[in-house]
Amino acid sequence: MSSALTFSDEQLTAYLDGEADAALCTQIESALERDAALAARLQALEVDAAAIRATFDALLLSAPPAPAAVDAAESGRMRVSEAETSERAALRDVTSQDRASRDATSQGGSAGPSRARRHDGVVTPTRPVRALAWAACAAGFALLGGLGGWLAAGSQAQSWDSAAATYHALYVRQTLAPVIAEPARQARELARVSSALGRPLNAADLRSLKDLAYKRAQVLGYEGRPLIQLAFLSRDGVPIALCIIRAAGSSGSGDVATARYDGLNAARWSKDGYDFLLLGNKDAEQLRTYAEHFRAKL
Amino acid sequence: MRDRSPAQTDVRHGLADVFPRLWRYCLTLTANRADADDLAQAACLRAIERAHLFEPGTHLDRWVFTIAHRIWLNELRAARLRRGGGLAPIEDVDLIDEKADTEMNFSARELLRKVLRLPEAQRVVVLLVYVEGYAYKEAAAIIGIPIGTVMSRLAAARKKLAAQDSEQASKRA
Repeated sequence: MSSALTFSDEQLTAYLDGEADAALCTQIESALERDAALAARLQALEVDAAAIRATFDALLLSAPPAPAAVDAAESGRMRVSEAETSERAALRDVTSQDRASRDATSQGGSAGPSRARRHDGVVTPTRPVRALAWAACAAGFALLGGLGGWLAAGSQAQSWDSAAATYHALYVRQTLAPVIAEPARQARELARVSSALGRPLNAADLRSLKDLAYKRAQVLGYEGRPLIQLAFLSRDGVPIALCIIRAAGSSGSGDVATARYDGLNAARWSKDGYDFLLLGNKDAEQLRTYAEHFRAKL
Repeated sequence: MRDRSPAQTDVRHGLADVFPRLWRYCLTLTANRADADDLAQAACLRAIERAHLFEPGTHLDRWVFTIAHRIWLNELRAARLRRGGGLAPIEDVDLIDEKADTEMNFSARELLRKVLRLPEAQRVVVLLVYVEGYAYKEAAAIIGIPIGTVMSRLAAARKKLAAQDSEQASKRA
């Protein structure tokens, strides 16, 4: 008969953090069924990791600017050897995303932790979540079409904006945090994406908001029309998406209007025959400010 | 001025992206805003100097976090102790840049203070594992300790934080 003392605090911590092996998990879980003292010990180890993470993420806003030696503004002067570096970087992005989707605990890959973690202070175990599998979407799969179909089963097909919002609702900080904003890769990607959209997009414009780090662009699709998603991560770790699609028929209002999609705030506008949609878990007025900025720039 | 090598360019670009997280890590290490600024700056410069040692395609953030940790342990920490500053608990009023419209409410500040008042060894693993989301093995590699030590520091941190929580709860009751 195992008692609460069979397991060390370290083992229980590993269990709560999803780092315990399967055998240990099974042992702890079966012991929990019989042993109230063990449950009490787990309770004594509970922390609200989500709250800690949120607080520390807000701290990112207080970070000073990077030192001058870290030249983020470098662009244009591409020599042959720099071009080679960018090729390697581009390959790294692609291969790292493939690897990330195959194995959440792989060593290779772009910057950031190799898997998402949850430590919500709940007694039940958390397993490593393969959140980085979503990074595989950056390879440009027409996920949106497939997802729209799945969600719309048995009902009216969703509008493009509503489908985009549904997709964006899946985004978390971990989706974009590992994406390195390497300028040469971004420029190449943006050229490809602009060409698909039929409208020029400039990386410098996308990087013009201090609060939002421009990460990447994807070509998605909706009813045979290219739907572009530009992904940003705010300084406090909130994923923001700017979606652009050629307007079908008559365009909406030129002015920025705020909207809500199932609890997600958004801002919309139209310009030159294209519809724009800015999505993110920020308050409506903040999104409106970003939207006005992008509407002027793009 | 010497032309930048491709490796340096790679590292510079990556550092711009990683800098806020690097600074946050330095703040957790030093528990002092001024020292955090210095340490983050020093780590960037060292990383650029050593860019030729950085393997492209590997994790830039872990690499520069490791650099920052080593500078802290081998250089800055000793200097601060000599200055007589000690490793006193952080004043949270220094932490939050009031100008940066941060909506941190009272309980969030409380929580931040609680974590930053943990012993250095514990708060660093809390940051690496619970905030940055590194696995035990990755965190262990960054700070150069065995995985078992990561586990025991986390267990100790959990106990301390959970105990403070229940202490507060019982006071309110």
